Amino acid sequence: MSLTSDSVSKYLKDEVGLDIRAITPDTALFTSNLLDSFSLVDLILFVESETGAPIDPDDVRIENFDSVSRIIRFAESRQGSAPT
Amino acid sequence: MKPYLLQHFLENSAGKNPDKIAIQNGPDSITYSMLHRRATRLGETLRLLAQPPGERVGIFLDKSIEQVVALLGTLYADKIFVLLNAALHQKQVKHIVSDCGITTLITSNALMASVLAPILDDLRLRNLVCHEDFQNLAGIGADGDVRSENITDDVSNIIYTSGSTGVPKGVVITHRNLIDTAKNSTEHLKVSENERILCAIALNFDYGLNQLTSTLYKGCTLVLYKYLLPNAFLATIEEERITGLPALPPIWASVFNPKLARIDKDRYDFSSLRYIANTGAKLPTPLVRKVRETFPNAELYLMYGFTEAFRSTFLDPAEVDRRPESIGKALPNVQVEIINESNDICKPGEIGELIHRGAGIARGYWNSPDLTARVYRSNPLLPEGCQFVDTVVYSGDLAKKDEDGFIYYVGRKDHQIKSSGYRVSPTEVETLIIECSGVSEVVAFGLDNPELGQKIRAMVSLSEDTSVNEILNHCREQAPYYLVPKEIFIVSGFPRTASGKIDRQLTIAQSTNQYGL
Repeated sequence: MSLTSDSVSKYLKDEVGLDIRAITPDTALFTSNLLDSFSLVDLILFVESETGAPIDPDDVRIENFDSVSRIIRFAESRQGSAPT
Repeated sequence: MKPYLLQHFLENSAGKNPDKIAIQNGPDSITYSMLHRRATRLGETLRLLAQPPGERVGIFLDKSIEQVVALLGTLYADKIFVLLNAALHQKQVKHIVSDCGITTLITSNALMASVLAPILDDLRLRNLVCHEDFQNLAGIGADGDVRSENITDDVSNIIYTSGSTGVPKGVVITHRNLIDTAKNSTEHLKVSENERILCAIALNFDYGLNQLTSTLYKGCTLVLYKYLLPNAFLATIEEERITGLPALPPIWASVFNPKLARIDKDRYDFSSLRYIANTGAKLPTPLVRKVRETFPNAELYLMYGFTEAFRSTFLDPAEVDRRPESIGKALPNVQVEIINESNDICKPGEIGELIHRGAGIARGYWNSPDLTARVYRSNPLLPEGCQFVDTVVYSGDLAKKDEDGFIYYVGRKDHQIKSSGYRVSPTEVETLIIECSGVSEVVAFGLDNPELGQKIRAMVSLSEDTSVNEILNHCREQAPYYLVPKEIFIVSGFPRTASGKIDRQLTIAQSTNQYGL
């Protein structure tokens, strides 16, 4: 299964309660104080369940999670590097 | 006589070690002499811009060198600084500016655009200064000795914090408070001029500000840091050769969450770290054990305190492994007692309210004489007729002592919530939610939570069709993240007392029965 901008936005709207009308793919989620690190744990679980692969704690860096587009890029890069 | 004002700490340290780095923030840093120069020049400017002395100057900035220059510059102008957390939204900014009568506000171009611009008319400021203009403005003032008219008992700053009801209140702090608490903290933590303290706590918290005052007093270096995720935090401790680390429990909860970070043995070199201080809320014992395992060479100080009296107790690091549940004993120059309803000192094991006397007692709440009189009271332990000569602070916290005099925190006397290190009043959350259209009634409360200390849950009844998401959206728009409930449940109605009021206790009991803790 893969992650899309729509599925991440839907998650942020339905599960986190963010007003996604005000959020572009590049809106900062954590550095702007929109989300706290408590929300990040749930976001990681969501990305893991959507992509079917666990996230290495070493990859839990702000540059991978601070916006919808970064989350998608990060998920894609993991798929690209996964063993076939 | 000096130091009797906070800025004297800066002058002493700038005199001793002018070229030493005082504050570091990412790639930026400032030496003691430059910090002194910039603060005095801004002070002279503020003296000309804003009259009279004693005026409250709001500082709405991220944790930064500019924020430090702004607060010291305010003191050099004999004015009172009020730090506003950059995470605040318009509603909270308006409350503080209005409650405190702030007429001069220092901010940044970015916060001006994102938060302040639409509410500028409501704020009724006389002066609005963006820190980007400091350089231009500083030319207005003279560059040289600044003569302060203030004395040590003058108000230096006001710290906004929540109580058990209503909106946040300003706790009034004097220069004497700042000086006493810096001396006190640096003594029991044995802080030297060689320290490199990582400041992950916001400066608008009393303990965050204390990192700055301690740094200026000892002439050491403060490394400002915005905590987001554990990996970068741990790497910073290593790379910056941090020696002193004050932190809040939510930071440790996220550091030791295996989903967020991996702390293998020998992965990081934490050998520089000399001490860790926990404050903000009790650190759960499993986290105490993990901190001790991960940083075996660092002394762990478990602190207890509240803004109205700064810090009250700490547990001697030598006792941490034996009594990790304890908040220790009184700090130097502080006395702490636990008293019962009859104002007698509790016996060992008896639960009562913790009261504090000695260093760190603030002046009371800004514009709130009634609340001040309830919290700052005559010392009940002195003979009748003499009690007025001494003021003690009633913490609102329930505690008990063991046979050896070690104190244990038990809980709150009232409904105040402690979440993510922030004090939150249930009324503030309820007021926020009730303003959402479609909401009829609401009860908000805190539930113990290992990550947050307490998480906020709200039970809501509706008058019109709306959804939990709509309510959450409303809260996120109107308030900073720490006021937004983690859980909202819709109910058809609330249990009532005989007088028809909502029965809070029964509502909370029903909620935990149905939805768990």
